[in-house]
Amino acid sequence: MKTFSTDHPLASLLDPAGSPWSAVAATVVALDGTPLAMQPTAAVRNSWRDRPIGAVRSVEVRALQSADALAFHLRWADDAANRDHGDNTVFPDAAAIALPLHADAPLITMGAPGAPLTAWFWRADSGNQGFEVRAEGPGSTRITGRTVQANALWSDGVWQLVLARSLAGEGTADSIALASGQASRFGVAVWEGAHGERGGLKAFSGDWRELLLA
Amino acid sequence: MPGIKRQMAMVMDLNKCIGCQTCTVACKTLWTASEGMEHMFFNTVNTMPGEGTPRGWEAMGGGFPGGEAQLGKLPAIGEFGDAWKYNHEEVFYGGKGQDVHLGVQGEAPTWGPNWDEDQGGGEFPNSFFFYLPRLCNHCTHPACKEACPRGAIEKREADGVVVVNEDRCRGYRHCMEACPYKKIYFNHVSQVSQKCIFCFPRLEQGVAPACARQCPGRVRFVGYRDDQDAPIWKLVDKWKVALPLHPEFGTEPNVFYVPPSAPARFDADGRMDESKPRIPDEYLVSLFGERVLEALQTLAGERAKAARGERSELMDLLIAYRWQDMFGGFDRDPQTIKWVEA
Amino acid sequence: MPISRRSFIIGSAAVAAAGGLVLYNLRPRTPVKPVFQPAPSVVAQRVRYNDFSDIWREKWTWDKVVKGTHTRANCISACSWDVYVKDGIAWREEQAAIYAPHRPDVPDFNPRGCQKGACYTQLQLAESRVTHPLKRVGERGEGKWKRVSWDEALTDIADRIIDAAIEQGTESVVFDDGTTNAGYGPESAGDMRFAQALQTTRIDSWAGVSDMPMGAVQTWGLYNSEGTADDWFLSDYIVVWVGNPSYTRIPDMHFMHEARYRGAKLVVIAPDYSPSAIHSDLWLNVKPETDAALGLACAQVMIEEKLFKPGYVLEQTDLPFLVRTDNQHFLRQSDVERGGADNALYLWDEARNAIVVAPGCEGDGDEGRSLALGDIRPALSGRFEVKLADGSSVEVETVFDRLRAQLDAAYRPEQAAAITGLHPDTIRTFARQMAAARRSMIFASWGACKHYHSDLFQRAMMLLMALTGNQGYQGGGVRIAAWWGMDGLDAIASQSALTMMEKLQIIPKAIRGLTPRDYEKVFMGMSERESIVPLMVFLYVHAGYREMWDEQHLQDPALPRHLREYVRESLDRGWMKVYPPEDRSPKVYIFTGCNPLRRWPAAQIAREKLWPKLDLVVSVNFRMSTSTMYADYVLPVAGYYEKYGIKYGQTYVPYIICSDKATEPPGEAKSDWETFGLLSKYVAERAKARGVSEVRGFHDEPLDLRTVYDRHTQNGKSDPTDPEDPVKLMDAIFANSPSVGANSGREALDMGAVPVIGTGRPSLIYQNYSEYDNDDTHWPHRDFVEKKVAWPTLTGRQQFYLDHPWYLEGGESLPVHKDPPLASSEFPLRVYGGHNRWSIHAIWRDLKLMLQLERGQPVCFMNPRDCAPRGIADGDMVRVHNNRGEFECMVKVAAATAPGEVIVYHAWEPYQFKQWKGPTEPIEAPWKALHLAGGYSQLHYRMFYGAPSHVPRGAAVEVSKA
Repeated sequence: MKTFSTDHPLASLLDPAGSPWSAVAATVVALDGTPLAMQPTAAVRNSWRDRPIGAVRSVEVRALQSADALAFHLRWADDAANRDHGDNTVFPDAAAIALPLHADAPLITMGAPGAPLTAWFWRADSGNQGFEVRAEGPGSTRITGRTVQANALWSDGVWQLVLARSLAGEGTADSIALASGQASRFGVAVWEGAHGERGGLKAFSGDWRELLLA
Repeated sequence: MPGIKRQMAMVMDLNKCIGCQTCTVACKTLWTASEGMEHMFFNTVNTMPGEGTPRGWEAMGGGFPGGEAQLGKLPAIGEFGDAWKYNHEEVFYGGKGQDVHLGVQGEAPTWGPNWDEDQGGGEFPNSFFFYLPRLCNHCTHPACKEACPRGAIEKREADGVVVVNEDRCRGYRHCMEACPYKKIYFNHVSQVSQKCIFCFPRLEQGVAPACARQCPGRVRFVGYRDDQDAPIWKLVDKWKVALPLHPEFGTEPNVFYVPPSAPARFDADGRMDESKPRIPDEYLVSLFGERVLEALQTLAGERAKAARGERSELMDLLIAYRWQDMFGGFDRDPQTIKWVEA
Repeated sequence: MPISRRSFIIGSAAVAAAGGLVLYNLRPRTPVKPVFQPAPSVVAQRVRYNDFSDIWREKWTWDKVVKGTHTRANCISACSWDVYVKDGIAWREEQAAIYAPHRPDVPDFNPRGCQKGACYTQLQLAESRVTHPLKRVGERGEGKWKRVSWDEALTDIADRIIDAAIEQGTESVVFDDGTTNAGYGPESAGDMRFAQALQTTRIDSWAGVSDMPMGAVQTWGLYNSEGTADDWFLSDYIVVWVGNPSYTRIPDMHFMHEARYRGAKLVVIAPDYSPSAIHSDLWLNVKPETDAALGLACAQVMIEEKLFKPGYVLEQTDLPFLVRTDNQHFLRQSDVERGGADNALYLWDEARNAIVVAPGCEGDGDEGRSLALGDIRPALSGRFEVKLADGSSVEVETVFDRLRAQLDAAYRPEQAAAITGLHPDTIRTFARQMAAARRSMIFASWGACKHYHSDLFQRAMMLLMALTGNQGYQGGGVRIAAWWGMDGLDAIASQSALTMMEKLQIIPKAIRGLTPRDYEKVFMGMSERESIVPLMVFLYVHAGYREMWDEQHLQDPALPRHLREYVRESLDRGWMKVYPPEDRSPKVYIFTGCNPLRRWPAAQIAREKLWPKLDLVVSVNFRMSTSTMYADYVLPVAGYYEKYGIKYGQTYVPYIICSDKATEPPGEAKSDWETFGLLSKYVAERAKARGVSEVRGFHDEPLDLRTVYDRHTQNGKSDPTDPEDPVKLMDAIFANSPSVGANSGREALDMGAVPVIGTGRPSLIYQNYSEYDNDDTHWPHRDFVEKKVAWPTLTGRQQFYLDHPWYLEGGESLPVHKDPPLASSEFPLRVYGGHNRWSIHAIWRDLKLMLQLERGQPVCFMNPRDCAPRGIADGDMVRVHNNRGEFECMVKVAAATAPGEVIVYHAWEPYQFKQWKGPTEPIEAPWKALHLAGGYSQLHYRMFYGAPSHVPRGAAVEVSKA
């Protein structure tokens, strides 16, 4: 997927229904449930054996790049918005764009020891706060930054979400530095809270996809 | 036990429990009085037979049925019982007179942590019930710990107390699904799972947990599981009258119960009928396993001995002549503690 | 010989005169008070691990710890708590648990305390807390209030009290503290002094809260009968009869369960499978209101099978006393001798084959001091001819024979089975086990006072404990309740207990040592000096209840006359008194701590008939109760942890529990001591300002209102506005109480639990007649069996035969079973209940945490068999109704509830029900006319004694789905 440049200021990109996005062609990314074998605990593996993981099967991804920021737009179908933990039995809907911090970072296992990845993460109960997280394998995710901006909109059975961050990042090893013309890779994950998806239980893009920055 | 030096344990004598819930309140005021914890009771007491807390927990699954880790149902707040809201202000100061009365606002409650109190089972006059206090079992094989993908549940090395590491917890609640006793709550404000901590800050100062020290029925013994000089080991291992709840769940609880007896039942003519117990054996077996029948026999035998004026170590233990002796050395009076900054 | 401590009651001069002459040396020891040593503190470092675990450690920290208790909760227990204060807030409490055991082979008392006590910190800051004086600005009960200053409130209240006093005398000012809502210290002394200084009418609610064990008064001449709870451990056969100690004796119940492990049997007698029954060995599911029949059937078995103790019966009971067969009266000396005493009664002495005046009876010629039989060999059985003074002869028989004939005729187990629903075999087993046990006791508690014929239940229970020789022995006897005496409590009142004339009259007796009967007379005198009125009489005369209670369906069909005739006769003879007098009206009603519109039967009657008569209603309270909602002024008092106090001391635990001030009260709340001091002060000042001096006071004697504050403060000896004044009052109380181990108020407050180290002299509420020292358990009535002191009854014994004309005409001269009036009601279900687990009266009832541990709202319990035909399911809302009234609540369908019963536990606030129709609305509480009897030794009214009972149990209702 290629990002498109735009002259719009970042603020106008943050509106998921905003006009800048209507002109951008979508990349449809098919999603799969995370493999059972990758679930880190036996209890989860045993109990999800006969239960499909990954309720959301595809997501439209768009990307716009301003002079100093990169914004992803995600769009997927969801009958009902889960914005909180409800009565305990549901989870907030969530989505993330993963980016490798290491050339060998496997997406399927959320990185590996010594081969971390990062993700720009949004959850429906966190308002406009997005997170940068870092992981080096299952269960190792931790929040590393709070400069990702997020804005989500649910209507008529569809979530639209913008995740944006400065290209340069925070200048730390955990915060991926991006630049115009760079080729990277991305992954997508979507959590359907009504389906009990949280943590390693989610729908994801399977493997890395190409990301070419304008 | 692997990974820990010693294991704290508790024995509760169900023949002394009067269901007063002082334990529940002692715990509540100490640990779960803050925001997000309003609906939490790390310690509950339920009338058995009954549906308990959360409602129908015994059938919710989890634990290690057949040795395999299994997630069970994720209990909803309403199944624990929510912290109901009331209209005190409107009643007292609203100027509406008798047109408003004090009551739960919003949706009418349908369950709570003690909803079926004192109702019981059986058919009158052969009704039966008893009280079952419960807290986290601080299991040797904790299903919650093993289910957590984040490794956010720890079994403390010093005392085997199972605690949630809230720095690591992301609120995924696999622990709530995995715990077959359903003793874990979710804090919707701090978004972490929370549960009984066996009062480890008190243990660290030599003070027994609040539920035990504050129990006016003198139901609860506390101490190290392997302390052969203290009541826990004697009741569990020597006399074998204290049993874990639902041993078939496979988590190896460190909380044990002295099973309850009940008065004689009546036959159809109203005569006392000693041929079978008021509390059906099969019901107790379903709770405490087959060994419960043997435990009841031991208790009855020793009681008969005491009634004949003979000495019984078991009866003396259960009488607990000296309250402090119930706490396996964790008998410091907390009000004597003067805190200083380290 | 040391001087009886009891002699102190008459002052030191008489004590000197009494030296060496004390006959009944009941209190020989002069205990030495130990010096209090606080437990050494342990320094603990606040360790920080800088991880998640610190949050939990931080929660369990505090700045200081203060001893506290719940002084005016009117809880039967008294528990010392450590109140943990953090950032100026009483954050949490934990039981102090500092009680020492009596003996190595008896369990200790620790920790004591219940779930209510464990969250008083929450109640103290809950929504119902009142923190500012409030003035009603809408209709009564409407909930429209205005905050006013104390000065504004007190000025207006004082003016209206003065107006009432000018118009109708101070007896038209009615003060009500709901009786045992009183503490032993400054928290209650203020209101007592206010009422005494102003000579208000005071409501005697002892019987009014259904706590009057009339059967004990009739049988023993007293009702204090309990010891320390650890004494239960030494019983071999514990019978819980009527009560539900698992709810009501939470700190003490463990002794019963521990006794079982000692080998004792625990029997619970209750219609429902009650929470106390679950750990018993034998549960007797007696039909409600048939307890007397069960008891009498057991007596029949014991007598028929000769399981009773003849020696005890001959000495300690009236069973060998002689009764004339012609008129059913005791044979009296006035029958056989011209000019003979009418209170000298006879035994048949088999040694002499002649009648002999029973030693210890009221008229035995030696002031009825000792019941020791000496060489008399009383016949237990037999008919004898006795020659009367007029020369004629009369046949006499023993009470025992009369009793036995009655038992054999009507109370064989087979007959009792038909009444009680129990199997005859079960009754026999129970009777035999009780008789065979080394020590049997009956835990009756106050629960045995709340049924129409409770007195008959009690007389039957006492008969069993007398037949088996248990009353007066360790681990034995009927247990009701008792208080610890503290001589220093005299300091509470504003006036001295005895007049000079009374002191002069009593000196000759005191020289010989005062007997229980002498004390009864002293208390009668004290009672006569106050305008104190039994609640039921007050309600009948002044509150509009006459019409209800006079209704035919509330009359005892076994009585030849109607209630109104008994009331008339009792008032005319002065057996009962009523204040204000019948021809005047109450004008002002001031209440503190109690909640009349929650508690009184069919409270709608009081709202509709009494309230309109009242020009002023003042509630002095820390919380918003239903009755407070109907007040004109609310004066906010400090919470229990915000003031100094002494919890009233029932004997369950051998300590007097004191409450220190942990924090200042919030808002403008003031201590009770200050509040009532200010009320007296404002009355005096307003009287001066308005130029009012004398008005009609007690019995219309002149009372100068300008002196009210001086009388209250004993001419300036105390200053209620001084924040430390209550501690000074406590100094006086403890310094003058040799029976408890604190020398000063401050020391007592630091101790929290002050050990009882001896026995106080008898007082209005304390007459246990057992010595106490703290190296053994305490049990009641030892003096009677050990020292052979006469019981304060006509016969000087436990008296099972009452030849009062009313009892004879009512068929209750001997204990019998009778159906209550409502047994014949067309309404099919009966409301029972009792104190509940979740509140102490209405206090705590509205606390969210407590409601969270119930169903969040009022409930009743019903059996599935009663629910099914009515289409009622668990959780349904139902209407409980009869012709008198109705209320709505949720149903819990319970296998444990007996069919026919609707159990509604105690003390829901009416404002928790739709339209505030609380659970007393259908409760008619018929009263028993015989309780109005007087003029007969132990049968008389005096303060806190012998008044007609409020009997809320057994209301006849129907229940329908709402």
